[in-house]
Amino acid sequence: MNQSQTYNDRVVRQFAIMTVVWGIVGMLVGVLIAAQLIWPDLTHGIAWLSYGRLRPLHTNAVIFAFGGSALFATSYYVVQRTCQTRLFSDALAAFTFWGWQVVIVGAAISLPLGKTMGKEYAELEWPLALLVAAVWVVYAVVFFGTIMRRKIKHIYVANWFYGAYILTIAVLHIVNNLSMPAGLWKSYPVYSGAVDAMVQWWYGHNAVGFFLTAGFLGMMYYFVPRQANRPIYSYRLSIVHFWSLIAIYMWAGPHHLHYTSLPDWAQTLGMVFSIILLAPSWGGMINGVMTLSGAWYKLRTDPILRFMIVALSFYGMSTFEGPMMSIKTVNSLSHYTDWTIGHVHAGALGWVAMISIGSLYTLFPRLWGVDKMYSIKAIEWHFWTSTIGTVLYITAMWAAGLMQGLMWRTFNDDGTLTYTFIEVLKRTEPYYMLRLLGGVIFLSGMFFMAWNVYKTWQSAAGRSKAIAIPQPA
Amino acid sequence: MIGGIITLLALLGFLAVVIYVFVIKRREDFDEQAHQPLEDRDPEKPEQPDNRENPS
Repeated sequence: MNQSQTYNDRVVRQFAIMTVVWGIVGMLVGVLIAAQLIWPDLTHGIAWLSYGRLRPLHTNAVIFAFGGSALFATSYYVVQRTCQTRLFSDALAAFTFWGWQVVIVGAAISLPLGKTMGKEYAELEWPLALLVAAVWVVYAVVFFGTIMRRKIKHIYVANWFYGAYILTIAVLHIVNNLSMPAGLWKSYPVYSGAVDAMVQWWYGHNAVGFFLTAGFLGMMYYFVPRQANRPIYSYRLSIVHFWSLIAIYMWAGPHHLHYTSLPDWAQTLGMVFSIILLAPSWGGMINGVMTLSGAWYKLRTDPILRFMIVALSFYGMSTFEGPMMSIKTVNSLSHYTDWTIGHVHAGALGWVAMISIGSLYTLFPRLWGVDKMYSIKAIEWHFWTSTIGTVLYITAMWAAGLMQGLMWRTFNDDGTLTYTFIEVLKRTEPYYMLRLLGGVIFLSGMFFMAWNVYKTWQSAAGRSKAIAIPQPA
Repeated sequence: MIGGIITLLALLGFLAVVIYVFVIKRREDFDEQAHQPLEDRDPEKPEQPDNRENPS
C-alpha cells in the first residue's frame, strides 16, 4: 500500500512507549526526593543526588518527559485520525521524537550537575533551551501542516486545544528564555527584578494553563468520547469552553506573586482572572463528565473510562481549589506551605497523569491492531493504586499545609513568633511519611502499566502493520 | 478609559462566540463534528456508536 494512504503511527508508538518509561523515571525521582524530605542524609551528601538538584529533575521529567511524550503521542494520533490524512512529514516528526529525547537526557545529566537557569519549570540552560525551541517549532510545522492537508472540512475541537497548546508554549518558552549566555552552561535572563518575576510566572502559570491543561483537554475531547463510544455531551459548549479558557488563562500568572514587590494592581488582576477561570474550567469538566450521561453503567466494567472520569473529577476539584488559593487572603495562608504542593499534585497526578494513562490504555491496542490491552485486571489494579495514591498524597499535603500556615502566623503577645521553623517541620514529618506512601502507591501502578503494555505488544501479531486511512467513497 | 474599552471589547468578543455557536451555526454541523472520534475504528470490525440508555 502507498505510504500516503496509511497513518504514521510509528512516531505515535515511540512517544507512547516513552510516556510510560519517563513516567516511571520521573515518579521514581519524586519518591526519592519525598524520602529526602524525611531523611535528609538519605543520599549521603552526594552533591548530584541532593534535593535541590533532583527536585527540578523530578518536575522536568514528569511535566515535559512524561506529560510531553503523552501530548506528542496523542496529538499526532488525534490530528491524523480527525483530519484523515498522514502526518505532514515523517522526517520532521521523527526529528521531534529524537530531539525531545535528547532534551530529556540532557536535562537528566545537566540538572543533577547543578546546571540551571534557576527559573522554576524553565531550569534548562540555554543550549538545551535552544533545542527545545527548535523541536517545538518543528512540532508546530508538523501539526499545523497536517491540519492544512486535512480531508475533513471541520477541525475537530481536540485539535483546537492541541493547536493552542503548541502555539502558546512556543511563545512562552522563547520569551521566558531570552537570556545572555556567559559560557556554555551559564546564562543571565535579559529581564531583571520584578519584571523578571512577572515574565517567569506569566510563563509558569501558562505552562500550567496550556501545557498541563489545554493539551490534556485536547486528549480528553478525543479519548473520552472514543472510549465511551458516545459523542461529546455538547459540541457547542466545547467551543465556548475553548475560547473563554484560552482568553482568560493568559492573565492569571500574577497570583504566583501575591505580597511580593510586583505592583499591587497586577496582583489583583491576576486574582480576578483566576477566579473568572473557574467558569470555563468547570464548563469543560462538566462537558467531559456529562458525555457519560445515561451510560454510567459503563464505569462498572470499564476501568479505562473510570480513569478518565476520575481524572475529570480531580480536574474539577483542582480548578476549584486554584481560584480559591489565588484569593489574596487565602493565599496569605496557603502560599509557601505544602498546600501548594498538594494542589499541584491534585492536578498533576489526579488530572494530567490519570487522563494520560486512560488515553494510553485506549491508544495502545489501536496502535498494535488488537482489541484491548492484555490484562484488564492489571488496569483495574492500576486504577486503584493511582486513585488511592493521589488521595493519600493530597490529603497529607492539605493537612500539612494548613497546619504550617496556621503555625507560621501565630504570634505571641509581644509580637514574636510562637513556633520556630524546626517545630513546624517536626510536626510536618508524619504528613511527609503519608505523602511518601501515597507516592510509592501511585508509582507502583506504573509498573502494572509497563508490564501490561509489554504483554500487549508481545501478543500483538500484526503490531507493525500500518493502518489505512479511510478513503472517501 | 482604555481599560473600560478593552473590557467592553472582551465582552463583545465573548458574546460574538456565544451567538455564533448557539444562534448562527446549525445543530447538524456540530453533530457531524462531534461524531469524529467515533469514526476511528477497524473497518473489518464495525462497532456501532452507542446511544443506549442505561439498560439496568
